[in-house]
Amino acid sequence: MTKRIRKIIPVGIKAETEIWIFACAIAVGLCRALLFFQAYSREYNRLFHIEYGKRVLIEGRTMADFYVVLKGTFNGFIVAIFIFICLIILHYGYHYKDSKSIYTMKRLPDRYELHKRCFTVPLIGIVVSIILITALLLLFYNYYMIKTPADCLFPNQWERLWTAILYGG
Amino acid sequence: MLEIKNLTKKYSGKTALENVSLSFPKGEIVGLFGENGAGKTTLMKSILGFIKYEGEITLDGEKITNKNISKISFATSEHSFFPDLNAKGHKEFYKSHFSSFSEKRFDALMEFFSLDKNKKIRSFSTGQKNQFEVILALSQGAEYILMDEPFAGNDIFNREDFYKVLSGILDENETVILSTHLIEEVSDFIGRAILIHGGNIIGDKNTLELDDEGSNLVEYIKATYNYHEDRVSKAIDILSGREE
Repeated sequence: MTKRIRKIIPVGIKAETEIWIFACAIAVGLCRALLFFQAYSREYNRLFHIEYGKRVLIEGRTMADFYVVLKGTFNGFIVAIFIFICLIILHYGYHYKDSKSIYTMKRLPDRYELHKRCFTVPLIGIVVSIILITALLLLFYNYYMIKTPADCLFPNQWERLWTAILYGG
Repeated sequence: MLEIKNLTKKYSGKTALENVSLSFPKGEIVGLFGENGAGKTTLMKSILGFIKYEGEITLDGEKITNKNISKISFATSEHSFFPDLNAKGHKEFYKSHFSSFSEKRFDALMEFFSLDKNKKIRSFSTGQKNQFEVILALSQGAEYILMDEPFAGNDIFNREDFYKVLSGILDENETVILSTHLIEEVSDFIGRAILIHGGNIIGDKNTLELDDEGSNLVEYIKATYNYHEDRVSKAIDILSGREE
């Protein structure tokens, strides 16, 4: 695997270093995203009170909107995407560090080699982040809709989410 | 044939090269001489397409693009190797990108200079780095080998060894364009001298012609540059107050 990775990263950079940066960035995104469940539980618990040792729904209490619970969940992935953008800049900068290996890269018969080695890993990182954001968004939405008692739900949560994203919550 | 026609390069209004026209047939060893900032490096970078320019540069009648760029190699005192890669890694990289890469020449030169193939190039001395830089340029399998001050930082023994090796290994189709300040050292090794001054070609002479004229490279350069032999003694006289 490291042999394959070595072909898509700047010449001389250790594949292990790239894997480590990639994994850390994605881990930051995932860890922050999983805090959604903590935020959900906090809002969910506000729907109940304890009567004789039992959890009972408070009448008329509604669950916070999905977009409110979701707020900040994907900030980790925004950081990850920022890291990947910085990685592109670092990859290009690497070719000017301690030598001008940029001259060799620019002289190659394969004119895309330099860009391939600077862009591929960060682009994969950005695409993986976007896929994870989408998958987690669907997962969290379904979790929210299934777990929340129907009586406590405001209707049109999906539309409300997009209205909040597009026009500000 | 590498041909340069009316090459002009300006850096933010300042002219680095002005209307330069040159041609380099195959099999020549050309010395490119000139003071710092004369335009030698700019000329090489223009040939390689690293910078934009006005004019035309062709290789065997075609514009230099990715299709024919492998016919040109480049060794520079700025170094163009990958510091964190060892020699073996460089060999593999060059082999995969330059179909005419000469493994035989690479191995022979590495052995000649006793360079460690497993050490990162970063850990080499400056002299060894220069040697490695030139080894890569010579092994690429290029027809035109551009060298920009390749021996800066090397001691005299290193350099002399190198000239000898270079004269011995070059094929008749290989052209070396060597930019250097070490005029006397390369005088027996080059076949043609091109002088650049202030972005203009002020001299272009075959060394055989110089021999026929009973002159030599150093004299030719001094004459072309209008060098006055007595300028040093005059300056000393003025500074020491001996001149009235």
